[in-house]
Amino acid sequence: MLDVEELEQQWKKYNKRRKRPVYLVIVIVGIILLVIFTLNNKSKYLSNLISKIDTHKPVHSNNITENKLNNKEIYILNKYMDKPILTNTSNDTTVDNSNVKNSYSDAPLDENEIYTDNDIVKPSVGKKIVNIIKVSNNSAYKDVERRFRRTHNINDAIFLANMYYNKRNYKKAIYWSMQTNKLDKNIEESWLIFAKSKIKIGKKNEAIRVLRAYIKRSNSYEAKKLLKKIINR
Amino acid sequence: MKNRFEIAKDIFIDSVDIDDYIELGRSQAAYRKLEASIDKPLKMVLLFGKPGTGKSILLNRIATQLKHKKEIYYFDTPATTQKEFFHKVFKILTKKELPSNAEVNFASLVEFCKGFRGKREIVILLDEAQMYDADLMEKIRLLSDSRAVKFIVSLHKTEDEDLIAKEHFQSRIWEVIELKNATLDELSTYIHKKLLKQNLFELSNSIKDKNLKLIHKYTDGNFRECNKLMYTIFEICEYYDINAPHKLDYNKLPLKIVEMAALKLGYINA
Repeated sequence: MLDVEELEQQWKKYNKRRKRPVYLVIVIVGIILLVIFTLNNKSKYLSNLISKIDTHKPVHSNNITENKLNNKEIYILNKYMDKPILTNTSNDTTVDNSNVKNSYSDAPLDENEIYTDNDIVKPSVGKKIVNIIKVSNNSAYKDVERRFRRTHNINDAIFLANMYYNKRNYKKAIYWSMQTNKLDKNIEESWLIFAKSKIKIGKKNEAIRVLRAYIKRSNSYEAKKLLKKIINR
Repeated sequence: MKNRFEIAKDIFIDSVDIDDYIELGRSQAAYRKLEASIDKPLKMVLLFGKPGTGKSILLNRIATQLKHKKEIYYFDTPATTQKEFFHKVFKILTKKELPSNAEVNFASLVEFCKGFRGKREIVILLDEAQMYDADLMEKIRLLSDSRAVKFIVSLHKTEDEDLIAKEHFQSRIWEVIELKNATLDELSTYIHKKLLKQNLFELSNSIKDKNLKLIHKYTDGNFRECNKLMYTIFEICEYYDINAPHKLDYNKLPLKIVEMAALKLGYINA
């Protein structure tokens, strides 16, 4: 007489063993698809990012570069990048980014404090390692402000001046350029942001006065250029 | 009263009974070829194939079918000694019993055969001829050379095909009929015909193509293996029918049961 129960157990074992390669293939295919999907997404993000980063226009410490900024998304490249501050180009607002390299490369922002949406990507552009911090709302700036009050780090001040100018909050831009100036009067960027913000709020004379004072002090080419532009308006 | 699985199980008990014979295209062709060979003035005919390809049932069938037309004898089991073999042959040729302590003089037997050449035509069917030793096979050849006795020798196709390979033997074989394993279609016909013969229509319908493919795969189309597998399949079905009917699909034989039977018979391993 057949022991069918025993046979059934054997069959379960056999069936399990028979299906093992099928499961293995499914897992391998799944992993391959996942890798392809991830790489695809990563390369898309990377190409998107590269399109945002104009690597052909390096920023030097005393140069003024015009960048069009998006109020909602500002990408900050950390110290390994030639260009320390990168902005998305969608607005007509202009900003001066002079001296940014030094300030951000020496004391980079604390990532945990500055970004809010946890969207950190570390892509590699060529052989450079780039840390990108995406700041997408005002609470991030508040965090930097709070930190500035605690540490009085000039990099935070200049960062805020720049960011507020980009966000067209000119009063705050003036305030933070003054804070920068209080800590170091030789940072050209703070002078320029201050002057440009003054113009934006209609105080042209004050802007001219400040620029002349700075030109007298530094003979800055960028300051002269800006002054000429204001006068000729 | 037997349940239908029990009946089906019994159908597949391996036998050479001609009532169990199922006519298939290829086996019919082999039968006709063998029948025609017997009619020809050939001395020896070789029927060979792997075990379970239907050689014995074919010999049995031909013996049964032709027994009223010809003097035909079927040696289904090989004689254990030459003495026993020649006692049987002597009885056939002389129609007399030889005393058990007497021995047949082979030379006299050959001469005796030559004496009725053209008067009688005796056909002896030797099944399982691979069991006979070379000396006896040589004597069989000499007897067939008398042209009064015709031997149909059935043997397994072995790895080295020892007997066939022997030139002296091979040169005396005038006709070779090879039986091969069944194709999928043949095996399907075989299984369905067997069940339909016992009016098990529903059961026959429940064996689908997938089942048949699997059965053919496991048995390689060998009828004996197929019988064993089908027997075990219906044995499992019988158990489920009595003890766990919910595990049985009466309209479709579950592949699981075929695989369980294959496990039982060692075609596959857990």
